Amino acid sequence: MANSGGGSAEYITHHLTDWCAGCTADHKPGGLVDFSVFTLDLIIVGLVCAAIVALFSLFVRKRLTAEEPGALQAVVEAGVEYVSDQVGQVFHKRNDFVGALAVAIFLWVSLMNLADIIPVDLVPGVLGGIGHLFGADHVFFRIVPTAALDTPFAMALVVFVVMVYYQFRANGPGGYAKRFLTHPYGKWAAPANILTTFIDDVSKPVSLALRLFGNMFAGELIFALLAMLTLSALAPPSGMVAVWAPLHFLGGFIWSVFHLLIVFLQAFIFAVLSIVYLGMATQTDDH
Amino acid sequence: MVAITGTLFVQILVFLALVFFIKKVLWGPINQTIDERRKKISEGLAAAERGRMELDEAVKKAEARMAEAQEESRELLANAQRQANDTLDKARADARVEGERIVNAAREEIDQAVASAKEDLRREVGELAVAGAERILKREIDAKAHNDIIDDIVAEIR
Repeated sequence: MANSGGGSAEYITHHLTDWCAGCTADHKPGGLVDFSVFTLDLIIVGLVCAAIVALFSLFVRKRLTAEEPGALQAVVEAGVEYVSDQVGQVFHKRNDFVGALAVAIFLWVSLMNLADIIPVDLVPGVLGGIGHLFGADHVFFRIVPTAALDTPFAMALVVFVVMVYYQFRANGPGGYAKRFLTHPYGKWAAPANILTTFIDDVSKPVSLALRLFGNMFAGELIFALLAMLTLSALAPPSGMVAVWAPLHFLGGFIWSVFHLLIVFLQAFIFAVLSIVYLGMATQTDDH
Repeated sequence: MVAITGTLFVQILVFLALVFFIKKVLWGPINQTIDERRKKISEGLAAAERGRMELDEAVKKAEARMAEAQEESRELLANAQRQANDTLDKARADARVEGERIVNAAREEIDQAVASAKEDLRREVGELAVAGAERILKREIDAKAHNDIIDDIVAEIR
């Protein structure tokens, strides 16, 4: 642990601080939005997860056979067919881009979420130890990209751009403008319509991103809080460690099992809602 | 901490790259494989259906051919039977005709023989009568002069 100060607030803060390039002296971005900052740890984990997904895809493709599919191919085919069905239900025809988008979201998000199951102090602890050998007193490394805002919003923005493109393609520029002006309160309430439709559109990517971020951030925080049970008994060493440490491990186990569900559920929700939002965007408005 | 940073753009690029990679490497090939298998299965089912129909047709054809052959053999057998009967009847008729012919010929021959024997007998009787009369008259009867008488006698004997 690079955490030498001891206080619980400092421990939590340490766990929520990125290894970043372009941060201020206290390892923080300049504000809520600061595009000159790059959180290197999340980029690295994101790339590793994407690489694993890519290698997995190559591995599956290499063994594809129409005649006698193995267990792996059967599972992947079932997943692809499920997504195909969802896309077909919403679009009423085949849409390979949206299908691939949903599969990419599910696989990438699942893997990034799964990093949350790795014990909270393992990676920062190991990297901190390595950092100490090279003379760095504090090594910051978060390993759950989806527990930060950037990655969920990156995917949500892509979905949003495609959504707007589909709305344009389905309704034409005139139809797109008309929807803003007359939907949903009729043509005499244009200002209210513009505001409502804008909120309606923007709330979709925002809710997509914040739902994933919130779940994963909370999950990470609870693991850190559970770890503090033991730490609180160790900071000034006391006999209470015999009570808190088992509780820490029991709580950690229960939360891991529950979180495993959330990991895949959130990835699934993000993927399916993306399909639904994109499908809604292709429907021509006849209100 | 919680903030939107330049990482956003990096993750957008990574995500887009991943989407297109998956579309090309996972989504496309898997769907192609599924379609291929679907096509193969439907082709197999169609082939099975076709095969069953062909089999039905072949069985029907074979049955028809068998019935035809049976009919043909029955006909052939009947023909042979009829021919044999005909031959037998003809042979029987021929034999009867031949027998009758032989019997008739024999009867005729017998009749002829009887007639000629009668003739011979008559002549001899006539001659004997003439000889007897000669002897009775102790003189020669001019055979030529009395030929008509002799003939009369001969005719009478008959």
